[in-house]
Amino acid sequence: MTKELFNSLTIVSGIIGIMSIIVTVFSILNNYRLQNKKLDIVKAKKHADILSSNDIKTVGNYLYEDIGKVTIDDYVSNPKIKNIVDSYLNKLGRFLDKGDLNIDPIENVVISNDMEIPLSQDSKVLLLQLESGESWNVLATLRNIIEIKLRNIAKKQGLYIEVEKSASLLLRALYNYKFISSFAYKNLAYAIMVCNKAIHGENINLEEAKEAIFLTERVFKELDSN
Amino acid sequence: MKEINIHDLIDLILADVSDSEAKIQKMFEWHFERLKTVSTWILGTSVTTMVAIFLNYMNTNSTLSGWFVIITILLGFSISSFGIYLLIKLWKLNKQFISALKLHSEINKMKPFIIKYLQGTR
Repeated sequence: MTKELFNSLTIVSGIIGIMSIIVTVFSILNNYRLQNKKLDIVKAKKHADILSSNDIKTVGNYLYEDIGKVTIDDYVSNPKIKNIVDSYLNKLGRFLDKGDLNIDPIENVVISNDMEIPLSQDSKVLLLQLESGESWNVLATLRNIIEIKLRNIAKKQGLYIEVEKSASLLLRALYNYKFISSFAYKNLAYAIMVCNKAIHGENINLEEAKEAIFLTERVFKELDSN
Repeated sequence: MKEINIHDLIDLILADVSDSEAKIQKMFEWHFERLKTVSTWILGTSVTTMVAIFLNYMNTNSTLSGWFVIITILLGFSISSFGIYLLIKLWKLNKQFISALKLHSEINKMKPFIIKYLQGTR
């Protein structure tokens, strides 16, 4: 081979070598940049705010669109992204849990003839939303309302319940400590069971959802009068 | 794997594919073989080239210039840096496979909720 050809090959080799290093470094830096972008997206919203919105679109969007953008590679190689994803999946899993309450509405629920009781403003709003097809949002809100009520009762009675405990566990604890009656326990247990099933994603018919709202209203009136 | 994201795992669950864990394993196996083949080829080629040029240069009858040898060896190192980068990715693949299965299992429990959510948005 001639000297000129050797020199040309040397130059080409050098260029290929430099390009190879540039491509490797660019690949690593670009991956780092994209990961940071995804980290900004997933940590932009607080998980507590998302779950307390009681809005299926907000809860679902964050999972499907924001968390959904995270690749398996991001999840494994970036501990911050991993923590955020694990935290949300953990919290969402508990939020969507059907629970173990299994109340038969025919045998155990005390439904009296005066189901048509005067409703509070909150209940009227929930019923309106129910009629417009927002059953998931309504029942998520109802469960939240029940949980707040039960926590207030627990607080007044001096009973400490961890924030992570579900509405059904709260209810059972209050009943076991005899802070609520059997009537209140059975009706709220049924309402929570309906809410849990709806939030989990099962189909709940309109009558069941209305029943849950009416029963809750009835129990709250009894609890407020005691 | 950069190609699979959590959105893809959700779509796989919603597609009701039978034995989706086995399908995920297959995808990782393909990716593993691809990476292994490319990194072996790259490392093999670069090391072979470097050794061949170096041995030729050390031969007393060699007509290669010192500059040619230096640049070719640098080329070999830089190409093999890409091969080593692929080997590191290969090493991480096991962890990614386990994580993919774990995420798949957790998201699978939320399937009824996800179906309900998508029904409302479509």
